[in-house]
Parts: sequence; C-alpha cells; structure tokens
Amino acid sequence: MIRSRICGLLAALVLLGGVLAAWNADDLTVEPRDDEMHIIAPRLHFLTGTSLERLKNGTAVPFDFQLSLSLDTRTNLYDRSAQRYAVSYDLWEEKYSVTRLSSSSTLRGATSRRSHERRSVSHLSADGVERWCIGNVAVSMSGIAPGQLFWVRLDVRSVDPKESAPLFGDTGVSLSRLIDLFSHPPRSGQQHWTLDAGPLRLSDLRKPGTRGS
Amino acid sequence: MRAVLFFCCAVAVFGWNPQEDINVNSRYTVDRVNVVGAASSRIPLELRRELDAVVGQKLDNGLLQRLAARIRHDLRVQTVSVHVKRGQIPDHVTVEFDTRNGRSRDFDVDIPKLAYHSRQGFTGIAEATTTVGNTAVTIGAASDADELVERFSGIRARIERQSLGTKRLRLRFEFENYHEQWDPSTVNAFARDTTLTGLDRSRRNFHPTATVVIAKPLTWSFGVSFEQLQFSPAHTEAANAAESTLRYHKTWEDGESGTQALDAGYSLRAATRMLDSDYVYVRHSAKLRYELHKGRNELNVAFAAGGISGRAPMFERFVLGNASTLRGWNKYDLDPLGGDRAIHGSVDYRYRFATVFYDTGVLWNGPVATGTKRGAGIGFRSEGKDGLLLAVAFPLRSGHVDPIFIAGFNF
Repeated sequence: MIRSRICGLLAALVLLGGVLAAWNADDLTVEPRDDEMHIIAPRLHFLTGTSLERLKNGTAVPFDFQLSLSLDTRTNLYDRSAQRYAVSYDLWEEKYSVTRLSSSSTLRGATSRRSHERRSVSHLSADGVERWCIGNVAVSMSGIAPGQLFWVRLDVRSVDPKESAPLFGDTGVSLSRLIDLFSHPPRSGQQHWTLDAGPLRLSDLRKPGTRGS
Repeated sequence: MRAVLFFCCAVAVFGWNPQEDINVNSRYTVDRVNVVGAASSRIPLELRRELDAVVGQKLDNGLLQRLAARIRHDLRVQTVSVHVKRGQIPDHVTVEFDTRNGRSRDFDVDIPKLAYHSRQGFTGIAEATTTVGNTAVTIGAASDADELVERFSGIRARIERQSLGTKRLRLRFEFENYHEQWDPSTVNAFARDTTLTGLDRSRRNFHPTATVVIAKPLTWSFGVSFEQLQFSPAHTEAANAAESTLRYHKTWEDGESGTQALDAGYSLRAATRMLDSDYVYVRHSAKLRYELHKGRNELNVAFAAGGISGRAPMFERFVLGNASTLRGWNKYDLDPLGGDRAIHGSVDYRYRFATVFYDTGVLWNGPVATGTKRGAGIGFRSEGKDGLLLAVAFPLRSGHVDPIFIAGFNF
C-alpha cells in the first residue's frame, strides 16, 4: 500500500518535472543563422514592474543582455555576447522605441557586423521591443562540431538609473564592461531574468523547427 | 578637421547629451514644471528660476535628474521622483518633481553666513541640524562682527516643530549664549555718552516663538525673549521683551516678465516691567525687498527702517555700514554706538556674474543724525542674492576715499 503510494508520488514528480522541462523548453529557443546562434524567448517579458513605471514616466531605461554558449559541459564557456539597449516609451504616440547602445563583439569576434552599428527602431509594441532586443543578441557557432553538446544561457538585467549615466556614450558600452557587470550578482531591487537551454546539438538544430530541450 | 573641432566645441559649450538621442520623448517641448508635495514658498528663488528655465526647452532627462538632485538638497528631502506626462498641447510634456514620499533628511550641516569686511573682519556662522519626524534640532557656533555694533561670539541652539496638529502652526525655541567684543571706538564713544546703557560682556537669550500661517503667504510670529546681560560677575540685567512679526513673501513666475519676488516684514519688540525686564523700550523695524529676474538680468531693491523708543540695550541698536548696508562705509566711522533710528535703501543690479550696487541711508542717535550717506560698489556675484560676492565698495563723499573690500555669501 505504502509502496504503491510512493510509486504514485514519484510518478507525479516525474510528470511534473517533465511538464516543467517542457515549459522551460519553450522559454528559450535556439536558431542557427549563418554562422551565428540566435535565440527566441517568447515568454520573456522584461518591460514590467519598475522598468515599465520608469518608461511610462518618460525616462529611457537601459537593459543589459548577455548570451553565453558553453561546450561539452555547462561550465566550459565557448563564446559570450553582451549588448545594452535603451528603451523609451513615446508619451504621445504610446509606442516604444529602442536603441542598441553597445558596439560590442563576441569573445570569438564573429558576431554579426550589424552589432557594431548603433541602431534604433521605433513605433514598436512592448512585445515588439522584447522580440527585437532578443533577436539582436547572438553568439558565434563557428568551430562547433555538429554532434557536440552545448548549452545556451540568456541573462537580462535592467540597469540601475544611477549606473546607466556614465555608460551611455556615443560609442556605446564595451563588451568587457558589460561582462564585468554580469560577473556580479544582481543588486537588490534590480530586475533580472535568466533562461537556459541545453544540452543541444547543432545536428539537431539544423532540422527545421527543432527547439532546445 | 575644423568641423570636428567645431563639433567638440559645441559639445563642450552647449552640453550636448548623447543620452537624449536614445529617449524618444526628447523631441517634445516642456510646457510646465511642477514641484509636488512642497509649498512653493519653500522653493528658493534661484531654484525656481532654474525650474522655470526648463519650460520651452526640449525634454532633457539628464537636466531633470540634476534638478531633482538640486531639489533634494535645497528642500532637504530624501527622495525626489521625476514624472513626465503628456502636456496640455500636442507634442508638449509636463514635468513633475514629486517630493511627497520624501522623508526629511536626518542630518545637515549648513553655513548660514560667511562674510569678510576689510574694516570689520570675518563673520562666520555654522550650524548642524538633525531632523526627527517634523522636529528639527540645530546647534551652531557664531562669530559675528557684521550684524550688531559689537562682535558677538558663542553658541546657539534651537528646536523647531514644523507643524503642531496643523501645518499652519509652527513652534520654535531658541537659546543663544554670546560673549561680546567692543571696538575701541565704541568704548571711547560710550565713555562720552551718558544716555546709553552699559557695554555688556556677555548675554544669554531664551527665545520661544510660535508662527501662524494666517493666509499664505502671510505669516505671523509671536513670542518672548528672555535676554540676560552680564556687565560684571556681580552685575546682570534682564531685557525681557514680547515680540511680534508679520511677514509676507510671494513669488510670481511669468515667462515674459521673468520671476519676481516680494518679501516684506514688520517686527515689534516690547520690553516691559510685566516681563520682569530692567529695560523698558519698544523697537520697531520694517523691511521690504523686491527681486526681479529676467534672463541674465537680476534686480534687487531693498528698503529697511526702524526706531527705538525708551531705554534699550546695545544689541537692539541699528547699524549701517557693514557688509549689507551702506556698503563702502565703516559702521564705526558712521557712528560707533549705532543708532536708535535708521533708514536704509539699496539697489543691486547683476548681469550674469557682474554686479553693481548703490546704497543710501541715515542713522540717528537721539537728535543727532549722520546725515544722508551714500555708497556704491562693483564686483562679482554668483547666482542669487545669497550667492558668493566679491566686491569693492566706496563711500560717495568728497575728499579722501578708502575702498572697502567685501566678500562672502548668504548676507
């Protein structure tokens, strides 16, 4: 009797784990494009809470993004890309605008040439801003064997208003400065999100519609 | 190359801010600036001017953050949040600085006055204030050779309650303990004058007052002053007086005519036997100041008058010829004993940092008057009438003229 209950409980836990894994799998999807690895995170909404409040108060709010790629094990970092975006909300048109501030390249130096340009888009919805920001972060896939296991992690942080000022500039933010920021835990009250995907194989991703597990 | 140089210069001169490129709202014009949660009378005139200057400009979040910091400092609140909203007309925005959630700062150090007069020396007052709720406790030290006939040095402390049940009522208790230093010319003149009371060595004052906001911006303060004068270890006298002050302070802001402020006050101090005073006298004083700021121009016109009837102690006497009245004159040359009646007027004009001023006044000591005296000067003053002043002033008279150098702020 007790054994059957324990078995039932374990089965429920396994089922729950499976559901959570499936849920998590939908959070971060990996998409190879040319020599770069792009991501999609349809469930990630960072225009919320205090950041949204600041935006609705007419302030530009910066967000830092870091995308990490590890090979063979989770801890073996292969490439990393960091970007800073400044989002603002048009008080009259009630639409969002976003500017990519950083001109950083990845550690491998092979990220899209577009990332070296300061670029803005406007008249976006909140979802549109989130999609645009995430869609512009990428890491290099060159040198990865098709059957090699890899993991991907996306970190997003809102930037403290006091911290953002000296980092804003006409040349944007350096990769080393952003990576340094991500090497510290988020401050209390700082909004942050972390999404993981993996282990994955490129050979699986080449098939259309394949998602991270 | 020239274009690059020009661009760099433009950035330096006009303070180009790359942050504004990233905020889509930076293309909108500010149509109004409000400070929420603070009475407009609490906002210093200079700060009010800076806030007004934002109106008509494109939205600049960096500037708003700097102004928020200034409001935090000047109004002594812990937090100021900036809200930008749609304005009254399309493509315009309204800026609100919200101080409502700002708790009063716990501790503050201030220098209410620092002045140098080349004939009378330095004057300095420093205070430290700690605030708990709406009660502020201040202790300070002063050495003042400017305000009275004598130099008085010592300590002062006060406790203030900003509201008592209602914001219309404020209470204050002040304690002062000063030692006096008399100029030799005063001592010599006193020896020849038989009508005056003695020259005290020290004095101690207990001074409770209440202030009622009758109708903004008109306030009425009333209280008593228990002042003990010590002439020798065995000789003390009391100058206990009831006092009443009416004050009116109003600021007008108008984009076309600039910012104007009117500050008027009338004070009455009456020492009577009923308060167990050894001195019986009545002292009246009235002040009027008008300020106009427009663009880089600033005009200050001030008038003051006062009179004493009865037998009053030396600290009540009027003085002209210091760092703020009859500039160019030395008070000990005008009358080393001060006067029991005085009238004074001054006009200050400032363009950017350059300032010129003209003072005129008369001092009476009994039936004897100094005659109408005039002084003028030129110098540099930073923002506002309380800003740093460096000036050379001259008495307008025939014969030999010695310039007087005046420096300092908050006077």
